[in-house]
Amino acid sequence: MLAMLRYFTVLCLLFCPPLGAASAAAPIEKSIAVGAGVEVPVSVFPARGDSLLLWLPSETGLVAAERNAAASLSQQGIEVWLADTLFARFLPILASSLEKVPAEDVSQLIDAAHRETGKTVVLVTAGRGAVPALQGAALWGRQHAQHRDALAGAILIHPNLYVATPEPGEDVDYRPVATQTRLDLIVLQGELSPLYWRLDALQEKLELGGSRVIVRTLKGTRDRFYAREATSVPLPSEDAMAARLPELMYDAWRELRDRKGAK
Amino acid sequence: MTRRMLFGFCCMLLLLGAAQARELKPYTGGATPPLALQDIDGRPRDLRDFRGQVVLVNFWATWCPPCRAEMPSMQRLREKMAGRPFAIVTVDMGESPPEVRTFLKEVGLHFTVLMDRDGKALKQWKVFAFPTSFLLDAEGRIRYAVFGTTEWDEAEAVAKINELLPATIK
Repeated sequence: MLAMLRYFTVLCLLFCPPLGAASAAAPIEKSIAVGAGVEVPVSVFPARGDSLLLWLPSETGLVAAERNAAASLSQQGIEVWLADTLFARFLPILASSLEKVPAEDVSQLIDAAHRETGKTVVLVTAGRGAVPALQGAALWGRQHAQHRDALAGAILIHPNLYVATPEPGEDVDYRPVATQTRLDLIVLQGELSPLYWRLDALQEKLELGGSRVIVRTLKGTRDRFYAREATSVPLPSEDAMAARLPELMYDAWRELRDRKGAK
Repeated sequence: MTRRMLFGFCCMLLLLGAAQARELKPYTGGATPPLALQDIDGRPRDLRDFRGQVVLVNFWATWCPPCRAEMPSMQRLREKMAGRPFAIVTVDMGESPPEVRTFLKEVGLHFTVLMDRDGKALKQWKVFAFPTSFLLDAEGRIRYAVFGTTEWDEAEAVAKINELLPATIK
């Protein structure tokens, strides 16, 4: 009897994937043509709901925690597309590469996501990924003035819209897109970051362009809290917050949806 | 898949190449902002009390890996400059005294630590990255600044500090 129990346990360990990963279906890999000879690889985590998160890379690219969050969100009814706009143009994973992602690529992705699924699109990105994401959203808005509601807003994780980090004692310059964006925005910012202390200035800039901005601060976390290098100083509070990434995204999405409904 | 892995490897190489230490540059900002805060023991401290000394003002936090990386070199610099009119004043961003005290004890650091709990000093000094350091002359004017990790006890930084020491000391 004991031997049979052991045999059964071994079979379970061999054939049952770990909890969490168990029910997460593998994404559908496809590519979206965004220009002459340019194809953006997209990992689609399908869902039945009427919302779609279009997740774009930051200066750390698209990371495992984002894929895991996408799998989790799709199980909660939110479709997620992870679109690698850097790889599409063979750009290295660097902050400076994000400057080279044309607004047209992001605009075409928004268009394809909405056209192919009929779902309402929400952009998601982190850090300097906010620059091409918002530039793309602004272009899409100009091209689709008649049905702007197809783009419900953007969730920006510790967005960095500086032209460059100013030298000490110098004033900061923001990217023009900061004041040219008219979207519903959720900003998630860890409190352990120099960006945290400039949230009021960022919000002011974004609201100048007509955006409605909700700011949520994340206690005990730094920027890139879910994608820190192994050599970084470990923070238990940050690990706990990283594990909550799907929940944070779900809450942010729901806040955007509620705000849209309240319009 | 192989194409993606190769692409990732090339990105890693580029990242490693980009990770370079920064050096002190002549300061181009405005007049020295005020710096009056409580220290780690709750005593009020004012930068003006350091007049007559060359002062290294360093904005940092214990959760910032580059800040932690440069601190031992600041401690060595402090020891190297012992007996000269030179002081190190660090400004911790938004943490509690116990958090900071634990780190100082762990690494064996002996600096003046001011606590900027609400980010007021960070905004006045226009600090946008950690660590950020300012080098002030004996009259309290900011002469050099840098953001990013610096090896403070190496010849280049020490030469700039020596250059700012009052003529009678050099």
